[in-house]
Amino acid sequence: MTEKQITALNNVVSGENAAIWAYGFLLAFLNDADYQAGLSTFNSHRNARDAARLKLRALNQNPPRPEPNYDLPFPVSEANSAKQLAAYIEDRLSGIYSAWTATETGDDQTYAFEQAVQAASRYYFWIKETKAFPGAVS
Amino acid sequence: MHPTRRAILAGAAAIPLISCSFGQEAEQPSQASIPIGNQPTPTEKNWFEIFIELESNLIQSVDSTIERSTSFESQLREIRSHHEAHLAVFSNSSTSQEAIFNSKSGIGDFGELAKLRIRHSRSLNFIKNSLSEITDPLLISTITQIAACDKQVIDQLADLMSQVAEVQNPPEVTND
Repeated sequence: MTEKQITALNNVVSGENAAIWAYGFLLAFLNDADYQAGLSTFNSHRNARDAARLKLRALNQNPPRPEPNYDLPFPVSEANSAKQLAAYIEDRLSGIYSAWTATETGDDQTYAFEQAVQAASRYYFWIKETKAFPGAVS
Repeated sequence: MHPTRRAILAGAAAIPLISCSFGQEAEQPSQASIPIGNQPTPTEKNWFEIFIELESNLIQSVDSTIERSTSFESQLREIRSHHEAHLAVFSNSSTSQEAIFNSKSGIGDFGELAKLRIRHSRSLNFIKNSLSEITDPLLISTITQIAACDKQVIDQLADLMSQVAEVQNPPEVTND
């Protein structure tokens, strides 16, 4: 395992920690039609975070802990801004997983690739927009 | 002419974020840490050729769908612009070809959108199945992002197909 792989995996855990916090926050603002999707995604992020933590622990690394609080990138006060926040999170995660894909081979690379693609799909789900390079710095 | 890795780096928008903490300035991997200027491997050269052909074909398919469909032109033009952006990463030349299909196929919007969706699925699967052949890290993360774009377009086309289906087969209204 190289330094770059460990860094990428640490970024995945940090990103998923932030996503779990964000979904826990934004769920309260979603309307009934979107709530189940939000809850399901919240659980997916917990599973992904746990999987990445286990990989780091197996490498005798201490996974990064979640922050007690996070600064929101923009105000969230109703359903639309909550969906914007969900999309923002998914886009960032797509970039983080794309970076991890580049450091891996084999099954881990395939897993990272699929996570990047799924995060981009969720970005579209929340705001019905597409990007030429999901996860890229604009 | 094969694109060089330096040419790929010209697609600066393809560099992913590595930080997810809110409110922090997004970090980017240092370009100095990315091996540039090397010649692509023979496998990568072959991959470039296939990928460029695939993306060019997708642009033609989108053009064809725009010509043959009566709806969703703005969405389809956005999808086209994504593919042009993908191609621009791998090529210095612009690919703003004009539509080359003029005839109406007669299979309707639903069928045209379905064909386009299948082609995007093929593109995504091509990238997924060829990941192990690519060694350059920047190229791997870039093509992963392109596959992620393909997935968004696949989802969008499914939504557009649903809209067409609803118009063609509106739900029955029952009078109780």
